[in-house]
Amino acid sequence: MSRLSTKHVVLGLLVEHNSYGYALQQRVSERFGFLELADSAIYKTLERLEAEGCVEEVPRQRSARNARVLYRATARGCEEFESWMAQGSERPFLRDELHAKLALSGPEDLPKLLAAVEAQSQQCLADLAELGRQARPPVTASKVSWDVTSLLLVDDFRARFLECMVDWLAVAAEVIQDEIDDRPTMPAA
Amino acid sequence: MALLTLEAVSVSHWRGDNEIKALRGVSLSVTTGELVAVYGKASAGKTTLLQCAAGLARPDQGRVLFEGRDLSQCSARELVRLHRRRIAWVERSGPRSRDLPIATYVALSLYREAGAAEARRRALEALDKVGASRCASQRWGELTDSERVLVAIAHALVRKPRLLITDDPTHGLGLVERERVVGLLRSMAEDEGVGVLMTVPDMPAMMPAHRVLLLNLGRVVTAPEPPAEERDNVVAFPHVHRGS
Repeated sequence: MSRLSTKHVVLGLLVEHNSYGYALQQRVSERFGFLELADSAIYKTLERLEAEGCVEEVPRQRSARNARVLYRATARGCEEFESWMAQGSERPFLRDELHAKLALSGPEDLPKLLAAVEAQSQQCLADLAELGRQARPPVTASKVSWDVTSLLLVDDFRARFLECMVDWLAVAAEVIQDEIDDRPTMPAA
Repeated sequence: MALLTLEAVSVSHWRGDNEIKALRGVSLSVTTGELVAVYGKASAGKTTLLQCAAGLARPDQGRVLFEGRDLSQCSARELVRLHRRRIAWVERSGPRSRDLPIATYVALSLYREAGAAEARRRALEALDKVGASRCASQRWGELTDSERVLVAIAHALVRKPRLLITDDPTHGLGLVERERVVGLLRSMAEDEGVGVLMTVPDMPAMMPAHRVLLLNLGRVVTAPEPPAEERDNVVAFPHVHRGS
């Protein structure tokens, strides 16, 4: 996957509406199931955005009982967000540990590779099942809002990415199995 | 207890002298209230799998149990009865007579046992459940692709089956329509207590399913079961309004 800009994720959420640091973490987890940001990462990003003049504290009276800081996007932050929105995105980078193992493997490694390929297929299915357990907007109306469609589109990409992986793993398993079958004296995995 | 169980099912087809192993020792189960999705590429054995599950094809090896009963031991008459009352195959090809109003088409299988008025009432109820009431007086040719799928599901559900089997119900549908159809199948499973076994042409269509399986070269790959607390931990869907 291409690197996701944490800065712009946090900024985009603040452009939507003002938020406390803790609430931001929850909103990240709700909206980007695949992205988990620790408290420290959120506050570090907020500090950086504040230093750049993109976000600021909402001035208000704080009491001993409520010492939380409410953040909002500044005009500069909104401009930065719109500029990021208009930029092209990096393409996902296609590399995988399995590719290195394949490149470095010898005939004696093939049964182990086959087992690794099968395990990775199972992991892809587990990832897909995990996607399904995350927020699923109920689609009942004939016309749905862009909020819902955009999330469906992101989920669609993630599932199709896994589908490509699974399809390629099936090809890899077939090729490795054929190679093993051609070598009857291969050791078992 | 599982509603449907396939135990080490193997099926081969012959093309001349060539044996094509469509299924190789496939085992799976579907329980009441569960939507199980099977993904596989073309020629992976998906349709053969569904035909075995419905008792429409007999395995060369292994068993198919529906409510504990071995389908290969059922007579033709028993199978017809099962298909009339317990097992429904979602048929997307629609009525033979294209002039039939949709409500009549959906009610057809009930006329003999329930009478015309009751059959029509239940057909309208089934169309309402799948969100296709507007199609009741239309003809098949007037429906969109997604409406046809909804009507096909209503046609299968009207007999109140225990098991619903559907082959590629999302084929040819767009992003939103696909989501609507699979979401409907999931809620039918949960609300009506029906077991649903479906095949899908792509993995996005599997996301709403309770369980996802991969059929590859006649074998089934399953995802490892997650811990119960993770299964139940569904994140609430947020509503987004920028600038509010």
